Amino acid sequence: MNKIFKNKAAFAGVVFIAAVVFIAVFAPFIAPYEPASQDLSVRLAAPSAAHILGTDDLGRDVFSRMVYGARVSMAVGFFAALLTVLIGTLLGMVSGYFGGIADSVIMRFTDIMLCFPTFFLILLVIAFFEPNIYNVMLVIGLTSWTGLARIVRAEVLSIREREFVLASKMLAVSKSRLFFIHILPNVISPIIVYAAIGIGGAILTESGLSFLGLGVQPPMSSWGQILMQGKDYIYAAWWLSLFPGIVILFTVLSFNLIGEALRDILDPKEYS
Amino acid sequence: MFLEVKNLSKTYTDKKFFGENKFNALDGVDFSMKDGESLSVIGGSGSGKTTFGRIISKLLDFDGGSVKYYGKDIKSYNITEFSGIVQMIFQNPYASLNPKLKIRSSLLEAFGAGAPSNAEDIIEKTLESAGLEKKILDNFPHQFSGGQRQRIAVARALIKKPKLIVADEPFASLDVYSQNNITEIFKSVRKNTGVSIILITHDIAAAIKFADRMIIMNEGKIIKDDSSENVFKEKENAYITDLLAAMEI
Repeated sequence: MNKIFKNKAAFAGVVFIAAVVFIAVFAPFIAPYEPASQDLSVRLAAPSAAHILGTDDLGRDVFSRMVYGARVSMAVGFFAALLTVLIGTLLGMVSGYFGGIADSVIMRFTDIMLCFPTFFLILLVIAFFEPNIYNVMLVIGLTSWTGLARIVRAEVLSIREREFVLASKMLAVSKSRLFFIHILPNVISPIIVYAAIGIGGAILTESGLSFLGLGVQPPMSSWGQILMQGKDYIYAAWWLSLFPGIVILFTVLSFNLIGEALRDILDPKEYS
Repeated sequence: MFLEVKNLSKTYTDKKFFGENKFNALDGVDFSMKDGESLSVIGGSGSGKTTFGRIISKLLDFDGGSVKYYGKDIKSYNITEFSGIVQMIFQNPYASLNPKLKIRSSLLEAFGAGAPSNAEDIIEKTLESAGLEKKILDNFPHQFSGGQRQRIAVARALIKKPKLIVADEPFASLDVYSQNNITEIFKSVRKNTGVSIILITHDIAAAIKFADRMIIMNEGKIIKDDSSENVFKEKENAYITDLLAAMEI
C-alpha cells in the first residue's frame, strides 16, 4: 500500500477515484439541484455562479446531473468488473487445474467469445433486452471475462507444477485446500490488475452505450448520456460535451494508472 | 522387500499437429531396496533419474512394469496412506514453500484436517532434527536463504514419519556449505529415525559421501548398481569411464 503512494501517477489516480466515489455516495448532499428538474427559462445557459457547469437543453443543471451520473458510472464499473473477475477466475482456474476435457471445452468457448467484436455483441444483447443499468452491467460483465480466463489459466498451469503444490500433494492435502490456499492466492496479482483496468473499461463501455442511446435511459443521467445530448448543441453549448468528456477521461485514466502501478507492485517479489 | 520395481518404463509423448514425438525416459528399470536402506542415484541430465524419483513418489504415472511397496502395488495405495510411506524433497528450495503462507501453516499441513493437540511439539522436535529453531514458524518463506528453506522442506517431510524420503537434487542450487549441511542432516536423520533416503544427484562426490550403495543411470536404464567403492572399479563401461574422467578434472 505504501508503494502506491510513492508512485505519483497512481497516487493521483487513487485521489481522483476516491473523490468520484465520495461524490457518488453523497450525491444528494453535493448536487445543488434535482438532476431531473427542468427550468426552461435558463435553457442552454453558460457556466455561471448559479449553474457552475451550465445547463442543458431542458434547463437542467449539468453539474447536478454529472454528480448523479457518477453513481451510474461507479456502479456499472465495479459490478461489471466484479462479474468479470468472478467468471474469468473460476473458468480460468477450473480450466488450468483440471485440464483435459474441461480445459478444451472452456478454452474453445473462450475462443468463440473472442471471435465476436465485444461491443457489437453488447449492442445486440441490449437491442433485444430492455436497455437499463442492470442489463448494461450484466452484459459488460458477461462479455469481458475472456482475457482474464486465459491469463488465470496460464498462471494456474505454471503454479500447479510448482514444488510447493507437489509437496502439499505428497502430504495428502485436500483438493479444496490446494485450490484455495495454494493456487488461488498465488494467481491473485494478475486478477487484481485486470480488475482495476477492467473497471475503467466498463465505465468506457457504459459511456459508449449511453452515447448511442442504449445505456441508461432518461430521466436517469450518466456521463455518456450527457455527452450524447451535448453533441446536438456542440456549437452553441460546448459545456454540455466538454465536462462529461473530461470526467470520463480522467476516471478511466485513473483506473488504468492504478492498474499499471499494481502490476509493478505485485509482480516481481513473488518467489524471491 | 520394502520397495520393488520391475521392468518399469515411461514414455513422454509430445503431440504435434502432425504425428507425435516420443521420448523414452525410463526403459525397463529393475530395482529393489530393503527397509532402512539408503542409496544415491547418479546420472547426467536426461538420464531418467528425476522421472524415476517421481514415479516411486506417486507423482507421475508410468506406462509399463510395476512398482510395489511392501508387496502392494503403488496404485492401490490411497494418498493418505501413501503420504505416511514416501515423502519427497525437491530441487528448487525457492519454490518448495508456498510464498503466501507462514512456515507454521505450511508445516501444519502435514497433519491434515485435524491436527493433534501435540502438533506444535512434534513440529518443534522435527525442526530441531533439521537444525532449525522454533522462532522461524512465524516467518514467511522469503525471509530465509535457500539452505534454510531446504531444511524446512526436510522438516516438513519428516513430520509424516515416512519410511522413505526421495530427495531429488536437494542441493543443486545451494552453495557448498549448505550442501554439506543438508548431507549431514540427512545422515543424522537416517541414524535417528531409521528412514530410508534415496538421494538423486549429479554430484558424484556428494553421492559417494552420502551412501554405501550407488546406482548409475543412463538413457533410462540402470547401468550399474553396486557399493560406492566398487562402482567405479569397473572400467570397461564407456559411460562410467567418462564419468570418472569428468570427476578427475
